[in-house]
Amino acid sequence: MGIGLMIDNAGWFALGLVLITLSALTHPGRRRVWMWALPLAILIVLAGALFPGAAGDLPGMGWKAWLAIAALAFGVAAAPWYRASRDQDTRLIDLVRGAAIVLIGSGITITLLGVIGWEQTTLYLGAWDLRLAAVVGIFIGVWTGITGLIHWMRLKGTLRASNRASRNQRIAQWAVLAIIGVLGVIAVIYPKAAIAPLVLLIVLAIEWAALAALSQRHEDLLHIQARHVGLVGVAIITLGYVQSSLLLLVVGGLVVAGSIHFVKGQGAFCQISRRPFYADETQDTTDERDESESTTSAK
Amino acid sequence: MDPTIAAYVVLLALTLGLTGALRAEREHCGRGLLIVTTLAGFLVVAAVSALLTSQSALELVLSTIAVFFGAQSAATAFLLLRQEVHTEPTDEPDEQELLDDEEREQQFARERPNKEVS
Repeated sequence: MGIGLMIDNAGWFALGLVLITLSALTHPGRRRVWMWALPLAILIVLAGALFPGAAGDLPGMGWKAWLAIAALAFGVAAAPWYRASRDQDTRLIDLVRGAAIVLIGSGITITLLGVIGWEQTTLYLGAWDLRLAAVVGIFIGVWTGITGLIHWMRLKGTLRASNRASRNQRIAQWAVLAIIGVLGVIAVIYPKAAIAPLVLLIVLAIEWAALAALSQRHEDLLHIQARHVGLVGVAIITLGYVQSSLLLLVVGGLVVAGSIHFVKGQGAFCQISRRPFYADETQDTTDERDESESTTSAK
Repeated sequence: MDPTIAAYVVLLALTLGLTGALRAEREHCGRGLLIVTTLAGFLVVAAVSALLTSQSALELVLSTIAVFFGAQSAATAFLLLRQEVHTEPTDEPDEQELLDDEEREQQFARERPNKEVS
């Protein structure tokens, strides 16, 4: 696959830009214009991958490149721009909701890429590492996407958080995770008979992720999302391995490192006006309404 | 790709992120998380390259959907980062500088009685 080379050619410039931006953004007092360098770096790599196709140098790739550009444009337009007014007093709940949207999108992307990777690599029996990467990608994608979806629906008030899992429930969850692992191993080792285990794996992963995300406490949501960002980083690493791109490997490593920093360092955000986490917003207004409803029905 | 090279590169990047490039004081940790969430937008690059190399109609459809959602999540992550950077107070003293000042003052206070004695 020459595609990794195509990414890496433009990727060296993008990587330099990313590293400079990281050092500029983590020092307070530098100019905030630097944040625009991150999307610029992504655009550089995209242009490097798309330009040969769009210019017609590679036969049969032209219309695919234009399709990719159209999908990119629609995706960017579908982002919730209306929330981005800068004077608005943001609450933590908005931040968690935005992160949930990010997780949903990344989860779907990772799952689909895992499925595509599986499609392409089942032909070669010896390529067990590629199959392993695909299965890991599918699992991470489903887990992340479902977690983001459940968080989002909880914050919207569509779903109510369930109680903390009891001990037996937790043991059952671990058992389900073990079954998922066994199914994944079966799918990697016997690719000929892998369809049924893979479908079962996806179903179990949906169940596992949904139950876990429902029983998480409201205060912990952002931390769990930070952990999932780390998982997205792991998925980027596996994708970089499959597509043999050094740039994706480096970016994945950086994402994992940032997530570890946040989970360990208990960081705070400026946009929730310097308060400690969840001083007065442990629950959404809709949640309170739900609870009052449930108490009245209990009477 | 050679697994050894891949592991080596990932380890180097992880070390870089853990020791230098992403380290900040406590109150900037949140920003670091949003920065790496924006970096996770590089997923869209992988999706685009999958689209460009797709060989069947199914792969084409799946990878187009993947590009769409990847672009959407990357743009959302960047919006969160922009919100965070814009709400950062500009004239706030640096935490490290405050610590340095305190240390200097203590040193000063320690030195003065010594002088008076001599």
